[in-house]
Amino acid sequence: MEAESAVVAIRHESDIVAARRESRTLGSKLGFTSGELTVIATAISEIARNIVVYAKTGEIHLEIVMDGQRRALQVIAKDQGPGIADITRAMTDGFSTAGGLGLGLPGAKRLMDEFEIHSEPGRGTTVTMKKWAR
Amino acid sequence: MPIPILQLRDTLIVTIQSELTDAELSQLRQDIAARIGKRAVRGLVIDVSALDVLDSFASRTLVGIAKVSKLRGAHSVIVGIQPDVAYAMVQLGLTLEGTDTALDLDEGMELLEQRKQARRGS
Amino acid sequence: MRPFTPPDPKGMRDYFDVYERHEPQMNEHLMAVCSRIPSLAQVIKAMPKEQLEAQRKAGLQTLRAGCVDGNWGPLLEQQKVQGAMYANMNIPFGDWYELISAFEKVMIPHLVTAYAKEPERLSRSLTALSDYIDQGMGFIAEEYLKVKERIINQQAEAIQELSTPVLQVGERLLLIPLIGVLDTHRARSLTESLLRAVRDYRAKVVVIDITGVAAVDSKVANHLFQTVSAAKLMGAQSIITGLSAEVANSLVVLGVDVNRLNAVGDLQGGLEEANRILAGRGANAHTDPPAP
Repeated sequence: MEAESAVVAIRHESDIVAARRESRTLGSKLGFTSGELTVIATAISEIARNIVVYAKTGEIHLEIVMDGQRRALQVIAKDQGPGIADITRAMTDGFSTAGGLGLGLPGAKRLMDEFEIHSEPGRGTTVTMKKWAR
Repeated sequence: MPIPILQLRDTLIVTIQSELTDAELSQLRQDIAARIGKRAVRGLVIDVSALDVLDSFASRTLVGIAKVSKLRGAHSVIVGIQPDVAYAMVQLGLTLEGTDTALDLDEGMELLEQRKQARRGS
Repeated sequence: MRPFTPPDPKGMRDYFDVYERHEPQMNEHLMAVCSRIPSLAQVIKAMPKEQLEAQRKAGLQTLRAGCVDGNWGPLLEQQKVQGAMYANMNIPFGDWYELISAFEKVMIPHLVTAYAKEPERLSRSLTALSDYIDQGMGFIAEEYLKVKERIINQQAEAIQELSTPVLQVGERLLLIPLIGVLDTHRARSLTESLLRAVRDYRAKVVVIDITGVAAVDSKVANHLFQTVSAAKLMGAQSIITGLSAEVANSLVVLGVDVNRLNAVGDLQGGLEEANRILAGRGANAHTDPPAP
């Protein structure tokens, strides 16, 4: 049985590229177009960079999940970082504490079909996103 | 490893081969700034055709390089954004904020030439 | 893959014994049934005798592996291959179903004759046969449907491609005449084609004609905005033509910034503007770089 999941540890910037590459490998098994694969890789890049910048370390779990006949690539990004105190604000374009544009979260949400975020100050952050294959 | 910066008359050409780390980007920004100062450099072409993803960080960085170069008298153009990458950027909401873009090196050079003429004319 | 519960081993062994004994007869009968079903008759006729014989032998082997050795893997794989074959050869569901039913019908009297004096054995072998046929059909059907769906999707894609042509009408000029309903999937596919064409043809101007688009609402407008922005990142300017005054008004009412669309009334006007842009004399000539 081919690998239907992968875990990428995010510790350095170079791991962001590794996570993107892994998403392309898994994603192509679902028959995504190259445009869709790029969209997924971009969303992962945003989330992975958040981990590197804010949490320093974390991990990204990639998995092919099913719902009946439909299949999706599910991405779960977990970190034990400082967490986000005000998620609503963080999900508004332009918000960032590090002085950047802060497009990470809302941008990733726009790119993917499903997007969920759980975060507590001091307890870390978990982002779950999915893209469904037709 | 430093990224090679080519100079063609008064234009610098930078080809970004792979994803750059923060440190590599800082280095690149410095190198470009230094080169612009050295000889009369009026234009900068940044070729990103090798990149399969342009996220908000990369786009911020490119715009930053363009702005800094502008301050030092050189006009920038970003070339080679691939179709999939362009579409993903737009869906993400990235616009490259007023920085010129062109299809490839050829078009980029032509655009810089036109900008130069425009400046002379005004 | 669907789950498989191996039927009662004793029942399957007994069934197999009877089957093996009557196999040549069974095979002849099945060939006769096939010849009466046009879609299957065609397949049989097209196969060389050696291939039919080889398949027959292989079939017996995999059946033995399952019934006698309890190794059902090869048989299940064979069912999948069968299902895919029926789908690829466009054999109607009813036809292959009929073939398998015919098989079951003929096997039952043989089993009855063989175990008439041992009701328990007869009952077990009949149950096992029924169970095996049920599950087997399930496997064939699942693969059949999967492959059929894939074929249908491929055909739908092909139709879509044909209905959204990207035409090169000038040296650096592309024309995309849009017709029909622009749902999200079609809009995405259209944008991807357009952008690829910008790269492949090195287009500097793209004219998108929406005269034939069924319903232009804010969603469609957003798709167009995205397409225009993405083309701009690749150095190409876009002109939207065929946006009627009524549609433009309704978009404005919806809060859409129609000016961002660089819309020109009709297709001819749009192409003329495109050529002006290419010659460096376009409407935005004061902001565009002047011609060298």
